[in-house]
Amino acid sequence: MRYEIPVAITFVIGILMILGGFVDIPVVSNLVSEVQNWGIIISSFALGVGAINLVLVHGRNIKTGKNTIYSLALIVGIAVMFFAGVAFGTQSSTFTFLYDSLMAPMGAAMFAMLAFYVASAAYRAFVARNLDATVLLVTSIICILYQTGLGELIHPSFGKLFFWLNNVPNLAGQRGLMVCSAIGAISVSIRILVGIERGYLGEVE
Amino acid sequence: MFNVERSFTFAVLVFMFIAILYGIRRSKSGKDVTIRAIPGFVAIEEAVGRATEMGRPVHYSTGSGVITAVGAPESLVSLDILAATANFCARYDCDLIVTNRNPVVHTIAESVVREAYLRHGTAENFKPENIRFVSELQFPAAAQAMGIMEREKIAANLMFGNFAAEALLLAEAAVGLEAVQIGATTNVLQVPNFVACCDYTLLGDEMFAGGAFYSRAPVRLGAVWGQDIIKLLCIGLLALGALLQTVGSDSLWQILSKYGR
Repeated sequence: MRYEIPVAITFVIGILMILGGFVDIPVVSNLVSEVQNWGIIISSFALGVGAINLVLVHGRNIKTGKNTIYSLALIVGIAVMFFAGVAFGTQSSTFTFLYDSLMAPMGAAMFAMLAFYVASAAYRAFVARNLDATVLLVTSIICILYQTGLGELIHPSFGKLFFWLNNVPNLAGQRGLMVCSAIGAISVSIRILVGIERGYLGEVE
Repeated sequence: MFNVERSFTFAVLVFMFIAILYGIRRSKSGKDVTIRAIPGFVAIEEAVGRATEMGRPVHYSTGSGVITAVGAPESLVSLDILAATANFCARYDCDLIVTNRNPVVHTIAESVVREAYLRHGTAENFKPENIRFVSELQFPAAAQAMGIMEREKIAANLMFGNFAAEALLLAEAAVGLEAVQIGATTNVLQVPNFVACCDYTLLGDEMFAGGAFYSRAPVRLGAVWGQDIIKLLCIGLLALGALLQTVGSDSLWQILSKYGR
């Protein structure tokens, strides 16, 4: 019964959601939107569980003296944002100031780090150790030369080569991956619906 | 009543149901179905073994962990692979740190890992504080996961699920620690990043075969066989479409745009 009840609920809800995508019956549409509302409510409760987990993990760190400074910064951050939101509202200038002055720049800083990480990952990947890697290296050099504007100085038809590489072999490969991933995703959804895949319930055969 | 504009999509979905159910029936009736060795899955046990020998933890990321929108199948499969990873960690008595971006996935991940330790009779080794909710926001979550990886000196980094720009941040952080890395995502823009950084990368629908690969149960193998039949249908449709376009007919395109919404 431990697995059967969740699988039965998954099946009924899943079939209802699929039906909602294919039929225009008011009862079904209402049920679908009702289920979606339940999803939002459950997610909100789960967010509370997540916040409790954060406070417990980092509270324990402070207590045991393990990475105290980081954990303290996180808990103070949560507390400040929470009270600013509750006391002044999420549309208030205080909350917006905190978000725009702290959260947004720090997020942008993390995003900006990608530029350096792309460079270091590319440096490791662009080593001609076999035929595949050599093809990757050559195509990358062509793309980089075109993007920097040097390519067309070397030869006027550099652009054509770049667009052919991007639109033919690259796009074909990407589409192959996308089609396979989509089939896999639909297939696994069907398997979950009929109760074959139950790993998310903790079951490992 | 029935949305005619989606009749082609509906027909394909029904075909998929039939193919998978037929595959299961065929496999149950004793027909041999084999699944090739997928290096990324084989390497998970090796990575856990290496981490155990080094006395360092394994880090597992469930990605963006959406389960109520696009990306849900990836998250659910990620939890499936997490169950297998937790199984190895419980068997070898290796610490497993799981970072989650979605609170719902976080609660499921905790029960999945606890279940694995219970099954091995080593419930006392389960550390709930190692199953961590980091943040719902992309970059704060990445920053926290990177910090955890650095401070805990992880020996293996497993990333299965839906990843966006944070994929490279996590992977590069693990490269700096010389951790064994296995990555899988359906986001085609992030696959090159995983290929550049990870020791093993699962491509396309390989990730979705995780459950069948680990269990080898006929029911699951049969379902994967059915999935291959669906792939054949898609290849057939692609070939037909290419052929029709080449001879100047857009009839398939017309049918798809009229009934395949």
